Amino acid sequence: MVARFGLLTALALVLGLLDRAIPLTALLGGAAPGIKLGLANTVLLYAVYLMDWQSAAFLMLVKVLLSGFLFGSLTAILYSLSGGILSLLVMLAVRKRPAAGALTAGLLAAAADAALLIRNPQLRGQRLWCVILIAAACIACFIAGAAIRKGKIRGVPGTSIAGAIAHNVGQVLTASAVLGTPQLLTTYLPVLVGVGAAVGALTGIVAERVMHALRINPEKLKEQK
Amino acid sequence: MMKKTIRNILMTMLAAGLLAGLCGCGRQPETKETPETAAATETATGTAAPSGEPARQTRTGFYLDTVITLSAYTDRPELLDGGLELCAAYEKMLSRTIEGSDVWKINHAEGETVTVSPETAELLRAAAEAGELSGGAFDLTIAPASTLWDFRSGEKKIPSAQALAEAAKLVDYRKIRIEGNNVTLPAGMMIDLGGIAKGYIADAVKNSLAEKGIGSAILSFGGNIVAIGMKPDGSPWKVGIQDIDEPTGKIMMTSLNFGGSTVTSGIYERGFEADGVTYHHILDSKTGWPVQNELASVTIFSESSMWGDALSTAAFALGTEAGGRLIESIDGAEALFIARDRSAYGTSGIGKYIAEGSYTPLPQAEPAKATEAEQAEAEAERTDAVEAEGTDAAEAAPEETLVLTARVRESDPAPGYILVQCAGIAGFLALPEAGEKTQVILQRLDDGTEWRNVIRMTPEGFCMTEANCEGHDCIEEGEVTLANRQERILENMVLCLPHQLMLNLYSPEEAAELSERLAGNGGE
Repeated sequence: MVARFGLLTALALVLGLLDRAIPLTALLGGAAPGIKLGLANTVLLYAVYLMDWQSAAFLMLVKVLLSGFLFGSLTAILYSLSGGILSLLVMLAVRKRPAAGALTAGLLAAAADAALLIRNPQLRGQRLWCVILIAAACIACFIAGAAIRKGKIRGVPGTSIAGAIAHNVGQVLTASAVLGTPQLLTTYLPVLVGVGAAVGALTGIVAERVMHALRINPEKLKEQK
Repeated sequence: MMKKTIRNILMTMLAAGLLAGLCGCGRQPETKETPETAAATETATGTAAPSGEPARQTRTGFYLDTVITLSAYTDRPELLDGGLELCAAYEKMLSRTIEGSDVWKINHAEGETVTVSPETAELLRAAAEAGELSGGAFDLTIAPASTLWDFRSGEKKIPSAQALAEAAKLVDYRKIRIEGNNVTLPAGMMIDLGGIAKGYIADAVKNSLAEKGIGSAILSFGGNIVAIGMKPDGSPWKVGIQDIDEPTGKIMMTSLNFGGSTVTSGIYERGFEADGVTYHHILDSKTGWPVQNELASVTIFSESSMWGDALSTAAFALGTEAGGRLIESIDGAEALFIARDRSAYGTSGIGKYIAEGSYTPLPQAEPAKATEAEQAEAEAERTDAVEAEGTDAAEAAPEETLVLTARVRESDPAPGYILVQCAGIAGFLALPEAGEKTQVILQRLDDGTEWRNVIRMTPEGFCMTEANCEGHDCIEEGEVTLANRQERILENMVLCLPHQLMLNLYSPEEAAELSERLAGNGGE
């Protein structure tokens, strides 16, 4: 059990490093700061689905604190902790109903993005962003509708999308409180929510594939632990 | 792009360091008589004249115990030689020690009337008026006391209290009679124009060079800096304000000169320390002892260097409060007071003259509304000390400080403002009127961590060029300009999330309205 936690924590930390190493913000033209793939979330998804909620919460805390102290700062911990807590709560809540969760989150994201584009028509000129935002919302809805696998790990991508969006909402709420500005909620949040839907779908699919592969021989896996 | 920016910064620092070093060396020999010396030094601009423009020509001379450096962008360097000759002529007229000079004649007339040159008479009248304006804080008849002190030999000789008391009785500017070119001074009294002559000569050389067609020049008179016009590229000259704790030409703040005069009077240049007391060359005209107040230096920005010279001495002697009131009462003059504890205070119109460095506005005569924003500003100055890039080569790199303004008025000249918000404080940072400006925003945390962000500002907007945060996303956010801010995802904002730093770009009108609103909220 301890070994399993150790393994999962180490994996989360390494994936966290990989997240940091991929300069998604730069790749997307620097439109908004702090955009990450969130591969580390696959570990949390694993815990949410194949362990109990206490274990998932413990993993999340350890991951946030360790990576914060190792690579980041106190501010980083603050942001990821708030995002992590909200994300975990949402994922635990929707893991049984991933389709509904993802649909709700996806619709919220689409609404927020639409509001952004309506409020600021000049953004529509930036094709890249329109594509990303709309695609994100579409992917979210699509995956929610097609809860891919039956059984215990049903609908991992849906849960992942809901979790990723919740994570970003939590972070932006904290950032906006820390910085004392509501402007972030109208400019930054819609972007992060849209991006969250997209990367959430991506990591969800990865997690689903991994879990599926692991479950091919769960008994052997248990022996190894 | 990033590398280029860093290299540019490094190059500028290097140049600044080099020039600051040179200035320091240049001032070493300047340790003789003239009791008043300013400590403004021209800083490196880092820009060469564009090709096709006349090159920068420089001539240096040593007159009135001062290193005089004349630099102009001109094809006719012989004009600068003419400028130095003019200095020599004025030295013969105004030196206290050269036998036969007008001042020497007045001091040795034993109460008789002396006829002097029209220039000397003009200067004496101005000096007397400066005495009148300052209530005697500036006194041209200080010589009986000032000659008792020896601030240049290095001997820490303190005159006897009795001798100084006797001498102080002979100091009274009201007793000099100037009628036309005829001057009468009571026997025993002596004049010393050290506190005003350099400024007068600086103005004279400036006018002479300008008349002969020089349109861009910077003239340094041992610290009195006067400029003709702007730099060839149209930007203002940068004049460093000497660090009060460093006698070596190190710069504490950077000011701008738009073709006027910048004069500093400070305690650090000519003086000595004995038993923990700093004895320096700015003397109290009532006692003959060095003025002991909270101040370390006063810089006057004005059109006339003669008035700048006299007012810097007067304002110093009066102290921050009374000196501030004096300068506020004079049109076209602004003052920067630097206290011994390194805090700085500026008169109401000082903003346009300060390029880098932090200061607190002096309270105005009308009851000032202490707003939250103003308190925040004061706090910002404490917590957000801003430092220049330190490199080995640039030991004398200027220590820059962030200037945040709490209130923006629509009449202020900046083309735009950045609302800087971090660690619960907020204030406006003005965009430069021309050219490029780099600003470091350094947040020092309790545990010693330093959060560092560097922004580059132009009249149109700004971008983040350096940051020691994780990921450097704030740099990727790119440039915000007044033109493109509608089209950006983050609109007018550049955000460094790990450093809790938020920068918003506003037009002057928006900034004025916003600061009004911030101030209003603070009052409630």
